[in-house]
Amino acid sequence: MTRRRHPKKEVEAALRYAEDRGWTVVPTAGGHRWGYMRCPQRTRQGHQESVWSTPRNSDLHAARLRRAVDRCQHVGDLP
Amino acid sequence: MTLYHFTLIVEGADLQTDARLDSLWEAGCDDATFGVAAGVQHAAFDREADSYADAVVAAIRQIEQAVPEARVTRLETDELVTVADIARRTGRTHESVRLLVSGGRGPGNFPPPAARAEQRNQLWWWPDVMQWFTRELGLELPATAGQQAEIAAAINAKLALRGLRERLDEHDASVLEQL
Repeated sequence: MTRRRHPKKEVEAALRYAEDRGWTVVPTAGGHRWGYMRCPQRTRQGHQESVWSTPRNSDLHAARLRRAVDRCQHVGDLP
Repeated sequence: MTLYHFTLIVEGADLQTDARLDSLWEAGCDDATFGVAAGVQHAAFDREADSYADAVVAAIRQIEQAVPEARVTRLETDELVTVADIARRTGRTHESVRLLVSGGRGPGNFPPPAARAEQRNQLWWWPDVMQWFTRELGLELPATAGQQAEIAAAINAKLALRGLRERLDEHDASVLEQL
């Protein structure tokens, strides 16, 4: 099943970057939040970042999302 | 106006809900990325303002007004820097830094840019850059640039005091005011 694409190309690229490293992207589309992405660790120790539909600056929001993936220690512990 | 990068640690309310994120967006926090890592909630801001203090204090107020149960407890400095910033902080010329980045001079393996990877005005995370200079060139560099580090320390002291004061009784709180 294919996921809904994010309308901003920089953000979509960051979401794919996260998915390539084992994160899950979940579109919610309930208001200004487009969805969220969470790391492979599903316990309280895990990481989650919310994704805006229309961030003020898509480049910077995308950089923050990539940074969260790079900092996460759980990449690679796929369930 | 200057672009400032910083992260606020938030307690007291779960911000990872559609309703609370809507309130935060409406309050003007569409320049922040909200997340949680190991149970600690963060709001990572990329904010334009007249000064660093203006940027941080306005962000704290917006979060606490948008979500009344939320309390900002700490400021973490994390900065995106340009080649010019790196040159200033390391005491090198712009050209020297540009060559270190491209690998035209020095040990190579400069950290990849954090944002605008294909554009001219690239940005790096200062902690990555600092680590590289320390590891590869043996330079000892400050974690944050002078004045900004002092403002950050002052804001953190104020946030800590605010948290403690809420737990003091009236007498102790009034004694403290004499300081």
